[in-house]
Amino acid sequence: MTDDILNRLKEAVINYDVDKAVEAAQEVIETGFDPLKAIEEGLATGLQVVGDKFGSGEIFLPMLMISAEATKKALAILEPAVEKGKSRKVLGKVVIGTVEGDIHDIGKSIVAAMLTANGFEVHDIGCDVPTSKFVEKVKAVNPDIIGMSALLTTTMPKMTELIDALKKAGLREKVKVIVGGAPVSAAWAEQIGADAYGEDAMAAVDVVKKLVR
Amino acid sequence: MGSSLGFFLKRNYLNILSSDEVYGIHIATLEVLERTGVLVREKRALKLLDEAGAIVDYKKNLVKIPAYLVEEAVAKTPKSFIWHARNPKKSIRIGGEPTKFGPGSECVNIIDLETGECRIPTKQDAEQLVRLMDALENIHINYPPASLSDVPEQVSDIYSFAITLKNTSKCILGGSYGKNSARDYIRLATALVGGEEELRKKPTIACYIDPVSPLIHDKVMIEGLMEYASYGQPIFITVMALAGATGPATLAGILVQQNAEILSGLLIAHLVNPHAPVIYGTVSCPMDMRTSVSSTGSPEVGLLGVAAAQIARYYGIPSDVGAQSNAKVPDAQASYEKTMSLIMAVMAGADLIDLFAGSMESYRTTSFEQMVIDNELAGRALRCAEGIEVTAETIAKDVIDRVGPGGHYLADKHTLDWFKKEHYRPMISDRKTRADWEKSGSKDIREEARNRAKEILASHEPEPVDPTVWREIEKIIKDIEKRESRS
Repeated sequence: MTDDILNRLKEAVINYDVDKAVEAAQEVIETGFDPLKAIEEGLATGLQVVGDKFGSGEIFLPMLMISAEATKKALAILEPAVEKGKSRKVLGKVVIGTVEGDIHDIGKSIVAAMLTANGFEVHDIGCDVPTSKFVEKVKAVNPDIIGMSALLTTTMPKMTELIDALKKAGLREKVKVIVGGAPVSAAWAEQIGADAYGEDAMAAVDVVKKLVR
Repeated sequence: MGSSLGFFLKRNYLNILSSDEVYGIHIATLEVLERTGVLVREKRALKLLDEAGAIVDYKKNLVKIPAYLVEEAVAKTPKSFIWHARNPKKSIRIGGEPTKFGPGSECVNIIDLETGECRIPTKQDAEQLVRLMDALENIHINYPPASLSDVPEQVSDIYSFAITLKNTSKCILGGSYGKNSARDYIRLATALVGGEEELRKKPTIACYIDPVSPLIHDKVMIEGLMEYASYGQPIFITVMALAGATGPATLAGILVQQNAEILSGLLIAHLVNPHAPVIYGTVSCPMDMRTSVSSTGSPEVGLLGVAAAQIARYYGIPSDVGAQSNAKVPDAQASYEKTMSLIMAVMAGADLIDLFAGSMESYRTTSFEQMVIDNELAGRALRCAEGIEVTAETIAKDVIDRVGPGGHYLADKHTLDWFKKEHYRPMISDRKTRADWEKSGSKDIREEARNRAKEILASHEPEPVDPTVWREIEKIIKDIEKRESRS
C-alpha cells in the first residue's frame, strides 16, 4: 500500500498526469498517510526523473510544464496537512516575477516550473510586479533567491530599481539576485550589481543551484 | 517612386491557404473576439470600445467585440497609402506594390565590423547602421536597429531618433512606448515636415504596436497607438505569438489568435481615427521546446508569413511579415533561415518585411555584414516575385528560328534587349571563376559583405536636413532632455 501510493504519485508526475496526481494526493489525506513522506518520496522523486529526462533531451518543455503543474496541484493538497514544525526539504526558496511595466509572463513561468521541477520552493508573483511588491514578498517568505525578468528594453531599468530598494530595506545581503529575459545579458547583470544572469531556463536552474550551494 | 502596380496585379501570388480556409480563419477570429474577448489595459480605449458597441468589463479590462464592429473597421482601413520620406523620391506606396524592407528591432548586441566580436552597441554604431541602410537600395525603412549603451537611459530613445532624422532620407519609425514618448516623436516629425497639418496629410512617422499574446493590449502600447492614430500616421500592429507557449501550437490556431489581436488593435485605431493607416503585422513563430527560445528562423515562419499576407489581402490591409534567424553570427544558417521565410513572403506579395535587415539571433544581434547580405537577399527575392513574363516577344519563337540549331544568342539583338531586364545582377555574390576568385584573395561572402559595408561607410553621405529645420529639431531635443533630467 505504502509503495503503491508513493509510486502512483511519482508516476503521475513522470507521466504528466495532473488528474492522477491530484487523485493520489487526496488519497494520501483520506488514508492518513504521512504527507511529508508522500511529498519527498513520491512527488519529489517523480520530479527528479522528469528533470533528468528534460536535461538529457528525452522530453520537451510542455511535458516538464505539465509535470510541474501536477506537482503544484498535489502540493496544494499535501502541504497544509504536513505536521507543524516540519517542512519538506527544498534546495532553496525562490521569489520570481516579471518587473513593473512588463506583462510578458511566459519566460518567467518557464523558469519557475523548471526550478520547481528541480526541487526549489518557488513563489511566482506574476508579471507587471511593482518593486514594492517584490520587497514585501521577500520580507514575507525570506527567500534565498529573487529572480527578475524583463522582455522590454524599456522595463530593464526596473531591475536596477529593485536592487536599490533591496539595499534600502537592508535585504540585499540576505538574498541573491538573478536576472533574465530576452534583452538581458551577463554584462547588464554585472552593470546593475545582480549576482547572476540566466541566459535560458536551463541555465537559470544551474545558476540558482550554484548560488544556494 | 516607380509604380509597377499593373505588373503586380498580373502575376499570381504564392498562396498556402485556400480561399475557404482564409474565410474559416476569419470566421473563427470573429468568434474569438466575441466569445473570449481581449484585454485592453487602457481606460480611454475601453470607453471608445464601449461607446462603439462592444461589451466592456471595466473591472477586468475585458472587451468582447461584436463582428459588425470589426468588419466596419476593416472595411474602412486604407488599402493603400503613401508613407512619406524626407526625400520624396524615397517615399513608398504601401499596398499593391513589390515588398519593401526594413531593419530589425532594437538589438542589444552588435557584431563589431573590425573585430567580429559580439558586443553592446553604441551611438556610433547606430549612426553607421542608419547611414549604411541609407545607401542600400533594397532597404526602404530606416532607423537604428540597436539600443544605445553609451547615452543616458532616459534620453536614449530620443538620441536614437535624432540619429535617424540626421542620417537618412528614407521612411522612418518613431517610438510608441506610452503617451508622452509618442508625443515627443510626433512633435519631432511635425518639425521635420513643417507643421501639424502637413503631418496629418502625409503619413511620415510610423510606429510599432505589439499586442502581448495571448490577447492583451497593454496600456503603454495602446497609448502610443491612439497618439499616432490621431495624427493619421502609419501603425504597424505586429504580433509575436510563440506557438505552443503564448499561442496555440498549431499554425492555424496562431493565425486565428494573432488575427484577433491585430483586428482588435485595428478597431481601436479606427475608433480614434477611421482614416489611420494600419499595417497587419506578424512575426509569430514556434517556441523551441528544448531551449524555450523563439524559433524565428524556422520554416513555420515562412508558412505563417504567406498565410498572414493572404489574410491581410482578404481584408485589403497592407501586411508586414517576418524573415529572421536564430543564428549568432552572419553564417550559412543566418542566410538560409532568412532566405526561406523571405522568399516565401515576397512571393506571397507581403507589402513589408520589416524587422529583417542585419538582425539575427531573434532580433537580439545586428551586424553590418548581414545587413549587406540581406540587401542582396531582398533583391533576389524581389526578382523571384517578378516571375516570368510570358508574351510573344519573351517567348521568342522568331529569335529561336533566326538563330537556329547550333547557333548562339550572344550577338542577337533580342539578347541585348532582354538580358538586363530578365537577369538579376548580384551585388556581392561571387560569380568569378575559381582562379580569379583565388587571385582576388579567396574571400567568402562574409568578408565580401564586410568590405562592401566599409566602402559604403567611408563614402556615403546622407542628404543633409535643411539647417532651419535641424535647428528646430535640436531645440525640441534639448527641451525633452531638460524635462527628462528633471524627472
